[in-house]
Formats: sequence, C-alpha cells, structure tokens
Amino acid sequence: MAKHAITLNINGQQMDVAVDSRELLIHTLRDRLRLTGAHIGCETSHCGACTVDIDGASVKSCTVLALQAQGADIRTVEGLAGSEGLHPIQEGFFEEHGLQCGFCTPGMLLRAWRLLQDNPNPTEDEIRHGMAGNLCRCTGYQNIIRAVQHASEKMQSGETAAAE
Amino acid sequence: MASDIEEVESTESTESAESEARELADRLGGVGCRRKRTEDARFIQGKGNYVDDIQMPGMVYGDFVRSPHAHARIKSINKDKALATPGVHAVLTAEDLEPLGLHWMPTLAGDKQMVLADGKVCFQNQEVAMVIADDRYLAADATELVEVEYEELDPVVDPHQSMAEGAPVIRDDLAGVDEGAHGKRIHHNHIFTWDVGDADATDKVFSEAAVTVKQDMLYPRVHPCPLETCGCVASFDKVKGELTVHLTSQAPHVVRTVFSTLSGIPESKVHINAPDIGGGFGNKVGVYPGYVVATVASIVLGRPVKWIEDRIENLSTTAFARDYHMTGELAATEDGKILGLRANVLADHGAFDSCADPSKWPAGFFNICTGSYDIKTAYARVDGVYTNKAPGGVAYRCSFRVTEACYIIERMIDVLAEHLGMDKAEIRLKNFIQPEQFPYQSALGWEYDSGDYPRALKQVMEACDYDGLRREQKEKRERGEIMGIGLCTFTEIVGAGPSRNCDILGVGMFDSAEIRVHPTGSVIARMGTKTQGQGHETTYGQIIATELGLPSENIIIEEGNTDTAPYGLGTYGSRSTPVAGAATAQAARKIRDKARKIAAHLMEVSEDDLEWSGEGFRVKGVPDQSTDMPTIAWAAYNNVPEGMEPGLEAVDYYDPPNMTFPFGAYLCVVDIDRYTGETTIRRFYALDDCGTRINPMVIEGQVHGGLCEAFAVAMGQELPFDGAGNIQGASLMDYFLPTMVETPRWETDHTITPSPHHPIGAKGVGESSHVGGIPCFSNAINDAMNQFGVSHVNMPHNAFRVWRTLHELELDQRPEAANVEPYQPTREAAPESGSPASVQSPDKASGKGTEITIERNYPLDVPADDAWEILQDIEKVTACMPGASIVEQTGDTTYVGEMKLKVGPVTSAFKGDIEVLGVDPENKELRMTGSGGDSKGSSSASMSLTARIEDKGAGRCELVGSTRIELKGKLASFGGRMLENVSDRMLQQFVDSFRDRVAAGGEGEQAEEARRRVEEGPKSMNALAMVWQVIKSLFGRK
Ligand code: FES
Ligand code: FES
Repeated sequence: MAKHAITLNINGQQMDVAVDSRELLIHTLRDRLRLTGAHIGCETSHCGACTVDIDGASVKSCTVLALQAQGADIRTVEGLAGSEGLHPIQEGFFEEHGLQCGFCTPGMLLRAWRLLQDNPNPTEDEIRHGMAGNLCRCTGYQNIIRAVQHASEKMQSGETAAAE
Repeated sequence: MASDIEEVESTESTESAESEARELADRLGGVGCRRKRTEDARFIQGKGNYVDDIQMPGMVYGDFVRSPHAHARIKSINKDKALATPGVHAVLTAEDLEPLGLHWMPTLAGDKQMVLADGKVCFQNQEVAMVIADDRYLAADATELVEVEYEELDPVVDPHQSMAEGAPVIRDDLAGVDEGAHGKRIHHNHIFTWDVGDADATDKVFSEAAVTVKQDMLYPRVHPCPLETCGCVASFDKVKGELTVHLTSQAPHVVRTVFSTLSGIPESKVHINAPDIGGGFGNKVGVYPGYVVATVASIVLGRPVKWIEDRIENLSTTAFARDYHMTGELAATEDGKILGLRANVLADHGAFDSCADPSKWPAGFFNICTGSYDIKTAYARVDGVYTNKAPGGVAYRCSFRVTEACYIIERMIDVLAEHLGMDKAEIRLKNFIQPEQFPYQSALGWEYDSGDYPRALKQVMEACDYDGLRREQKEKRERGEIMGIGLCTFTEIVGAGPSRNCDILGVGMFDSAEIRVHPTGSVIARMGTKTQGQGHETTYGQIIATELGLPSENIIIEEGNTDTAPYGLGTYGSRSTPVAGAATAQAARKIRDKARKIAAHLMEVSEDDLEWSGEGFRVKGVPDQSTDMPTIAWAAYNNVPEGMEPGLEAVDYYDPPNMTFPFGAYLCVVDIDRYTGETTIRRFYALDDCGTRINPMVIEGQVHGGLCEAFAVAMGQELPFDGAGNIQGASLMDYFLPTMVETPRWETDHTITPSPHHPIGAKGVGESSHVGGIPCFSNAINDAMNQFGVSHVNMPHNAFRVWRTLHELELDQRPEAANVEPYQPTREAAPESGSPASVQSPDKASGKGTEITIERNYPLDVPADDAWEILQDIEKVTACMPGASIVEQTGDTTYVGEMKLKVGPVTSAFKGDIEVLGVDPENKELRMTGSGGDSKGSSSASMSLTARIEDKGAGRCELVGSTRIELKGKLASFGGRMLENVSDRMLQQFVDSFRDRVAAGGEGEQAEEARRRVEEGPKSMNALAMVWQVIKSLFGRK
C-alpha cells in the first residue's frame, strides 16, 4: 500500500512520518513514533485512553486518521513535563493517588490539561462533566478529581507568583 | 482516684510509644504511613511498559477468525485467499495445532478447552483460526478472507434448559465420560454437582422452624473489563530453543508451568514476563487461546508474534464472571434469630469449564455464604452446567465466588427482615457472630480468624444517623417520594490458601518473597505475585522497611519476570498481602535474625542482650549502645562472625495456616425518581476492616475502585444473550462502565481487627468493597421497592429496569397526567414515521435470534392506485432497497434476491429466498417473507413483511408497513441500539426511493426529477455505507 508522507508537530518537535491512508493516529503515535504513552482501551471512542491534544482540543486519537492530523500541533503525555520537572497535573495525580494501574492515566492527564486551559478553576461538578469522556476502571474517580483540583490550585498560585 | 491516675499514665505511655512508632514509620516509609507510590513516576510520564508497548525486530501480528454462531459444525475452512494476500505469513487452524497436541488445552478447573475450533464451535466469537501478518491492519483484513463453512446446530442458551432431556450435546468430546474432574456427570451438559453442609439436618431445621423465607435471584453474567485488554508477544529463539512470552498475566509462574507442560519445552527454557498490567480484576488469571496460538505461530515462524485483543473480543470471549442462578432460603424464629440456611445454585459455566478456582473448589469458596452470621445449620449446593456461551467464571475483583455468596446471604437477610417486619440493622445485630466467638467455626467448614461485626455496624449507623434516615424515608414515603437504605455487613474469605486444601493444577497456593540487602543497605526484593495497579512496589517496600529498619525509598520491588522472581501463584482473590505479604515479612525476619548475630558480633555482646530498636539493635537497658542496619549490612559482606556465610539475603515460601477474613459494614442511601426510574446515590459509606493497615492511602484507593466496580455491577453491567446465543452488546457502547458523572462520592472509614495468624496482622483489602458494595447497592434499591410489597428485584438496577418495576406497580402515573394532552414524540431522523422500532431479546429458551419489529406509516403525495401498482411489482419494490436486486424468479411467487453492502474494498453479499405470500388488491396489501445469509456464513436473517397502501383521498395515500426481522450471527451481536439505527435508516432510504418510483410515473417537473433519481438508483448507499462502516469498525479494525 502506498504510503503518505506527513508532518506532525509533536510536543514542539517536528516529526516526518510515512503512514498508510487508513492508519489511525493512535497507531502512528504508538507503533511508528514509539510514543507509547497514549493507550488503546476500546478503539470505539468510549474510553479515552488514547486522548491526546490536537490543535487546542482533546481528541481521541483512535478515531482520527493520521492523515487528518497532517501539520497539526499535537501534545502527548511525553511532552507534559518541562525542564523544571513534572507538570502540576502530573504532580496532582502523584500527590492525590490519582492512578493505580496507570493505563488510563496519560489520557486523563491530557484531558485534565486541556480542561484546565479552558477552565482554570473548575468546580467538582465541572471536572466530573469535563472528564466524563475518560474511563478509569481502578480508582473510582474520587482521587482523580482531587488530583485535578490540586493541579488547578497549584497552577493558579504559580500564575499569581509569576505575576507578582 | 488512685486507679484513675494510673490509667491516665498508662494511656499516656502507650500513646507515646504509638506516636514514636508512627514517627519511625513516617521516617522510613514503613507500615502504616501514607507513602506515595513509587510506580507512579513512570505512569504519569507515559513510560509504563504494557504488553502492547513492546516491539521487537521482525515482529508480526496475529488476529483471530471467530465464529459468528453459538453452535455449529465446521464443514470446511479455506485459507487460500488469505494466504495468497501479500503480507500474510500463516493461517493456523486446529488441524495445524493437532500434530503438536495443542488444539486443545487443559483448563484450571480440570476440564479442557479448544484452542482453535476443532470440528465445531460452541460459542459465538470462538477462536476458529489465527491469521499472522506483517501488521495489525493486514491481519484483520485477511481474517475476512478465510472462508469457513458452517452448519448451524441448535444452541443451549438458557442454563435451566441445559440438562433437559434431548438438549443439544455441546461437548461431543465428552461423549461417554460420566466421571468429571469433580465427580459424577449425570447428563451430557452436566459438569459437576458440589455440595457442602448437612442436608438432612438443614431439612429438619426448615421443617420445624416457625418462619421460613425463600427467594430466587439471578447474579447476571458480567465481565471484569479492565481498561487494558489481554494480549501477548511470544518470541521463540530457534538457536537457543528458548521461549519468551510477554503477557498480561496476574499469575505468570503458573503460566510458565502450563506452557512448559503443553509445549514440552523444559521449564528452564520458558521465560514468562508479565510487564506493567493495565488492570486485571480476574480477567488476566487464565491462559487464553490467543497466548497459545501466538506462541505456536512464533515457534513455527521463528519470529516474534504479537496478539492483542480488541474490546469486543475481550468482552465476548475472555473470562466472564458470575452467571449464578441462585435460590436462597432462611429458617428463623419469629423474633428473627436465624436457624438455618439453604442455598441452591445453577451455575452457567459456558462451553468449557475454565473457571479460575483452586482445583478442588469447583464453586470456589461459595460456602462462605453463611456470611457474618452465627448460623448453626446450613447446606449449599452448586450444579455446574455447559451452555453455548464463552467459558470463564473468573473471580471479578473478588475471591473465588465470594461475591455470589455474599450477595445471597446479604439479600436473604433483608428478605427475612422484610418478611418479619423487622429493621434491617436490628436483624443483623441480632444474628452477628460475636467478637468472643472467634476463632469461629462456620457451619459450612471455615474457621474465621477474627472480627468485630457489631462494632463496625454500630459505627456506621452512628456516622450516618441510621435512625434519622429511616425516619426520613418514612416521611418521604408519605409524600410520595421513594428512598431506599441499603446495608451490607459482609465477611470475605481471602488469601488462598493453605496448600492442604488449595492448589492450582497441583501446585500449592503458597507465595514467596526473596529479599537481598546490598552492602550499602539498599534492598532489592522479588515476589511471586504480580501487581496490576494495587501498588505492590510501594506496599511491599513498606513491610520490608518496617521489618528491617531501612528506608523504603531505597527498596526496589520486582515482580512478573519468572526468571528472576521466586515461584508464586500470583495476584487475585486478594491474596497478595495475606500470602506474599506474609512471605515478605517472614523473609525480612530471617534477615533480621542473621543481622542480630552480626550485630552481636560487631558489638561484642551476646545475642540475648540485644533488642530490636526499629532501625537496628541496641543493648537492652543501654540505649546508647546500638548499631543500625546499614552498618550491619556492610559488615555482612566483610566482617561476619566466624563460621557464618557472608551476605544478607533470604527467601521465604509462605504456606498460610488459614485464610484471612476481612469484613466491613456499608450503608447506601438512594433516591429514586418514581417517574423515570433514575436513581441517585445520595450517600455511600464504607467501613472496612482489613486488619493491620499497611498504607491507608493505597487502601482508600482500593476501596474507592472496588466500590466503583460494585456500582457498575449492581446498577448496569450485564452480558445478555438472545435465544440463538448471540452475545448482545459486547462493546463499550452497551456494556456499562461508569464515568465520573454517574459515579457517586465515596466516604470511607475503618476499624482494625488484626488477623491473629498473619505475621503482621494484615488481611487484604483489594476486593472487599466490590464484594460488599454490590449487595449494598442492590439492598438499597430493594429496600425502596420493599415499601411497595416487592420482595426482590434482580440486578442490574439500571433506570429502565427500575422504571419497569415502578411502572408495574403503577407508581409512575403522574397525578396531573389526567389533565395533560399526551406528548407525541417525533423522531428527528424520520419525522413522518410512527412508533419507534422495538428490539427484543426473546426468551432464551426459544432458540430465536435478535428480533426487531418495525411499524411505520409513510405519507405519500401520490394517488393510492399508483402506489399500489408499484407495490405489487416485486422487482421494482426490491430495487427501492439500497443495494438489493432480484437475481432470479424461481416459481410463481418465489424469488432469489441479493443485497450487496459495499464499503471501500469490502463487499458483503446477502443472498436469500423471497416468497410472496399474498397479494390482496381489495385492501391493497402485500405479504412476503424472506430469509438468507451472507456469503461468508457469518450472519443470517429472516423477515416477514406486510405492506399496505391506504387511500387518504385528494390524490394522497399512506404506505403502512410492518416488518419483523430476526437476526443471527455477527450482525445480531451488535446489540439493540445499533440495529435499531441501521434498520431505521435503511427503511427511510427505501421509502424515499419508493416515493420517487411512484412519482416518476407522473408528469411535470417533479416527476422528471424523480425519474432521474430512480435511474441513478437509491443513492442513499452512502448513508448506509456510513452505518455499515460504524458496524465494521465496531467489530473489526477496518
Ligand atoms: S481507545 Fe480511543 S477512546 Fe478508547
Ligand atoms: S488507573 Fe487503571 S484504569 Fe485508571
């Protein structure tokens, strides 16, 4: 099958890759680019394990063709931590025991990241609704919610500190 | 007064000792502290290593051809087309595995199971052949090219019909075998009958008791559904003759033994590695055909082979749980003292008995069904039968069949309370085993280690103001509002188990730990268990930290690699802490014993003069004279007493003397909307007692997770089947996994009653909240229904089912409804259609597939006679159906028709017979039937149709159609919602084309337009193609 050359900007890095026309983005990320953070839990857009951020929106990468992402800015869990260390969202999950088996975690983190960009100070209810597209079988969600709240506080205090 | 002062002093000194211990635990990261998890660092940075993350040079992919039928004989398999496809390396069938003796494999339950279908298929989606290709897309494509010809057989779907006279034979291979792994078989579909307790004494108690109650209840078939499905990468090294398999296993060592036995490769040359696992919950205990075939493929091809299940395969083939059809009975005095229990269970095990229970326990530990109550006389019996469903019967986040046992007793005690008009807390307090009765010998054979049930329940009642809740419920009831209060006071049995009565395939159910202390005092330890999210890397480290006085941050825990870890039976049934946790403490204590000798040598005192300080040894009474563990560790490698081997390490294989018995008291408050059946979980309060608490943070996490899964099971999970054995809704579209929105908030609490026989007093907690949570939710719903005289409703308690009960009770009638004009629903997609399609799963005994009935009225802007003319013309009518045509007329009223569905490169062709049963010009009515199947034999359908033209005057009429479609095979397994959608769209397109046809007969511009459209043919193919694509993507990986 003829391959198509596409360019993806992943975590600020330009990556050229040859893909099949019917190839799903999640497979390109995981199998070709070896970014195995995002996982596959269903392939039917239900579980959110494959969530990445594409051009400013949370996207289930099992439901997008790699070709559709040509030229897009993509962020994955591998690009969450910066040179200063863990992102506050990662810290939140660690501090509040927001993960167990870890399989849903990369998707959760990326979804939380986008949620907090859109709504830096969400209520519990807004978190529950905002993250309803991501399933977790282990945690019973309560600590994930705490983790997002933790991150929200941390990010806001960080901003105030930076502003001062 | 004096004695008072003394007491204050002694409390103070214990308090200070306690706070010292707490302070030490915090400093070391030892037992009792809320240590953050070591495993998190890799998971939050996307650096976990799950099986599908593994890539190897030259790796190829396997995918299964699966059976569309629940029961069929295989007439032929043709692999030619698949093999001719570029990129396809092999297609393996049972015939290929047979020379190796691998077409069947033994199950954990003493039965055997087909690896690939051997002459017949016994459940839908059963593995028939595996295609190995260069990538997962090619493999999935090629599975479509393997042609299998089936001859359908009558299926057994309802376990109650399984042992009927003349019931179809599911297991031809067992013909004449009347002795099974668990005793006599009395019917060809009978697996075992297992009973325990004194039947006669129980009968006597029941015949003499003042009060008896009896209740049937179904524990539906569900699935653990971890977020990661099962899978493996098998890699055979031809040069060394060694096999390495990375696989999702909760019990890798057992897998090694099984693989070695099956393949004949010496166990030393079989390397099993369980990498990070994305949740197990019992799904990953068994050995599945996928692992075996991928391994054979790797041996045959000499290349690594990866096989990863998709979600539908996961839900429909690997490891269901429950499916217990139970009848509970209690005998009691008039004032509610329970005298006897009788439990009868019909267990649906599917087509092969591959229950994951300890070998001698075909019904697991179901005999814990006397629960937390002092019931002197009891009898339980379980009959296991075969049906044409997937094999399994795993412990879904519970110890073997304990969830079922807990459900029956916790429901029954409520049924009894209701019967007696007694309060549900009061009846529990009256019947509890009392703290002073421990160790307690239960009527069905267990020795409970420790417990304090009344304290737990009272603590919960107080925390939630139980009496206040009951008052509120009464007031609400008077106002017409529905509220339910559920209680559950469960006892679990975990930590299998003593090897005198627990083994798996002959290997005793001990577990193990190996600890090495390095010269600088850091530690590596390996266990025979395997974490799947429980946090072993954190909590075992805490046990070692406390036992050895070394900081847990420098302790590495490894599991899952059978080359390095000591042999163990794995993680399930909450056995890690009770068994491997005990082994860890024991191994550490062996090290400490040696350390004491070294310390005595270093300090030049006698061993007896030393005492453990928490971080090393000190001389009794001379606290300044002490030495710490790092110093001792260093000495262990360069300065040991004479005659002592250097080094500081130990291994322990721990064979537990008994099980442990965690318990808890849960309370749930629900508010039910009487008009919609929607349930709000207002409060869920969970008090757990798991003995010594190693890491409260991890325990709370485990409890939250278990409760969430309990919520899922009680309120929505079910794997239903239609009468033809088609599994319905085995995708996340239909199988209920709660999201954050539905999931309630959890409140947790605890008491501590250590296990007297466990080295550190811990009991295990990973599953308690699942076991106890389910009856608690169910009791809450049932408590609400009890107010209206209903004694029991079965799970799942989803809104529809709750509403149905309320509707039957006529509770959903709004008083104001009498004055309101009824709302006429209109459907967006088909505004002119009538009542929506209704999809039913018929009675399982009927042998019927999934039925869809559709009744529709379509107004047409044409005269009735014109419409009738077209309707009589079968060829024209057919042509209105997208992709359909008449191939040939075979008789006066019989035809052969064809229907093509084309999507991209894939064409599916349905071919079938159509018969016109009657044409009634008087009423302008046509009746016809049709039946057929697709050319791959993967689906079949039959339908009957009545269509009538009703004259509406003024040159207008109405097409009134009613049709009943019955589907079997692949299509039927998409579940109700999908089918309703598809048929709706197809009908809509049919009517559009029909309208065009009729209009085309007229004159003017509109007719011109219509003629053009008719010529083009029904162009709605695209919409259909879209739906079809949804189906395909749901089913395969296209
Ligand atoms: S894998 Fe993409 S949503 Fe589940
Ligand atoms: S942590 Fe296991 S699925 Fe969320």
